[in-house]
Amino acid sequence: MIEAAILPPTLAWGIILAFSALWVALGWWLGRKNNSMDDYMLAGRNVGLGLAVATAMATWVTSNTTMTAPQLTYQLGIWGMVGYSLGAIGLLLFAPLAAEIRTLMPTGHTSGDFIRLRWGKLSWRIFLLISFFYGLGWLISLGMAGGILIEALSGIPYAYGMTVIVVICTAYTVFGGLRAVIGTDFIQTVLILLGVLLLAILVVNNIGFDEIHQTLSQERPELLNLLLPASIMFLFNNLFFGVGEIFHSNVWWSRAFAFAPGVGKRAYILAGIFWLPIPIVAGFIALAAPALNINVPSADMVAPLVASQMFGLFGAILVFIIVFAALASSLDSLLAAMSDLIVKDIYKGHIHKAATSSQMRSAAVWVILGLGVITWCLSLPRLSTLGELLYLTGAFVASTIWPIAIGIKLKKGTGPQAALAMATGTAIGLYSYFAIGFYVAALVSAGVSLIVMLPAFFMKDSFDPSELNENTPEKGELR
Amino acid sequence: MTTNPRNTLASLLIAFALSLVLLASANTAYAAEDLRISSNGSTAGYLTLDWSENSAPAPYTLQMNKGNGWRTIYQGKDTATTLTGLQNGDYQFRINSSDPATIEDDHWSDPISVTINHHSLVKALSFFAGGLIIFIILLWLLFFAGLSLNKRPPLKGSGH
Repeated sequence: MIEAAILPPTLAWGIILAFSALWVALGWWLGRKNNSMDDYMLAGRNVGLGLAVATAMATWVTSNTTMTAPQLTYQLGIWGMVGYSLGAIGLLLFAPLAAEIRTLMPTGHTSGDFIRLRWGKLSWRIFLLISFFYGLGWLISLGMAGGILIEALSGIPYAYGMTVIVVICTAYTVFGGLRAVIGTDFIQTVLILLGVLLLAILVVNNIGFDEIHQTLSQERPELLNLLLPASIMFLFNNLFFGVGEIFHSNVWWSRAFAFAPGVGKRAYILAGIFWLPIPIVAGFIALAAPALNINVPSADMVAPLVASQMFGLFGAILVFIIVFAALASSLDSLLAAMSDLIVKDIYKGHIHKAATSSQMRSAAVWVILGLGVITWCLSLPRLSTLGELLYLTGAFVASTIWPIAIGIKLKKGTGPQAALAMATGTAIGLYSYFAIGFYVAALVSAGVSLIVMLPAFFMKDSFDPSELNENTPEKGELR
Repeated sequence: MTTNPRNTLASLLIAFALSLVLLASANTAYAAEDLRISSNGSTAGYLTLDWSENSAPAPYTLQMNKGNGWRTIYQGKDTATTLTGLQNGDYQFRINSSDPATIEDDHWSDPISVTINHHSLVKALSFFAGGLIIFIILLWLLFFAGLSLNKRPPLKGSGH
């Protein structure tokens, strides 16, 4: 039981039920237009700019933006807040790559397709494992965030809140596929933006900056220290974590394939710019916790606790809706993207190579259900705080940055080299996570991966880009 | 280069499983009877303390001693607290029930001790410089190094 919980449990259940019904109904309504596997997995490859920006942004504004950014501000101070916002760099750097990916692979489905064709099967299998572990870690963090949010605001036990969130998101992703995910993302983005804007206005009107600064100076001086060593180490770590997440994850590749020609680059740039201030606003409120004399039992609870304490019942409802929308929009995207990767790369790539479109569609439903069950099982024990769990996956994903970037931009490098870069980057990144701290895992992983890939810059060209296009593209598909 | 695919894949699987186990087990660094440190960021200036609901009746009083005497830092019904922004130094903590009906001076838990020792600034700036160099190389690769696969004529007869 959390002493500062302010939302009556019946009201919390009412909000959960209302929004759950909305998402499931929308999922069903949007999904009824799906006629083919491309419709289900890639929304017909024809998503326009407005929806594209909304889905990229809604997916990147996760419960981690709204709950882990404040956690890091609470733990690492000013640079924790700024460092988290550097996650936007990932979206901005992926923008030009998204355009190239769509042209290079007009009939591609997943990021795994690219790795297999560019670097060969060993790299592909290592990449699939990395991608699977990352996806699982992210799914668990989202399930956990749901449970933690509901517990912090209403006192409803963690396990109940987490279960409801996972079940609802799994249900509407099964109904509608990527089209439903992107459609609900648009509405969720509007909710998130309006909510964060309102929260920023409330913060400015309700908190005295002087009081916050004075309390922090006396009680938590290191949070204001711009030379706090751990937070200096964290800055580039978070940047490479964000870049690794976006460069490798099928969440972003599936959108690059789904967006209409010419849309991807502008969509990712706009989404990155819109996303940048959100962690700052969300993170800032964590600094008010000492001034408000709020007890924070776990660092990842700080945002909902402070918001409900500062703004009362209205603030609690507002935060509840923002974070619920944010985590639902990411959980569904991740379920859909992981299911694509598993169905295309593991089911069709390894198990049933002659699978028909309808068999793959059926497999996708079962995979989403299975992922929902696994997420629930691994979220239940609440292994760690959100931030610490999330940055564990940083060791995995940052190792893929160089194989992806070099793979797209150059014709150099070898398959075994890419495989070694990912394996050693991950292994040494994980070691540094436990030996030094969660705030360096992605940075070390990216550095080691670069060292292994570095000789590629000096090799002769050895790859034919036409190998990336498995099928002859249909007329009109290329820009 | 000879790399056994099965060994590599198995190593990654083991690494992931092991890291989850380590993550879960990293939560019990020190313990003194009912009070324990459940998350220890002693090189970054934060830690989470928790205590058992069964150790004493709620509400609770948590005290900290940084070498200048005991000072109450929390009173209430929660069973955990997270302290952040701590400076270098030795800290002690102890817990007791603050129920006026049952509070007794000699029922304080055994104190637990933690030393906060931030990473050195040289180490931190080295990581920062390393990150900056990697970032510059990445920007160079993405925007200046190649004309991208799309814009180059394909090679004939080449493969991986």
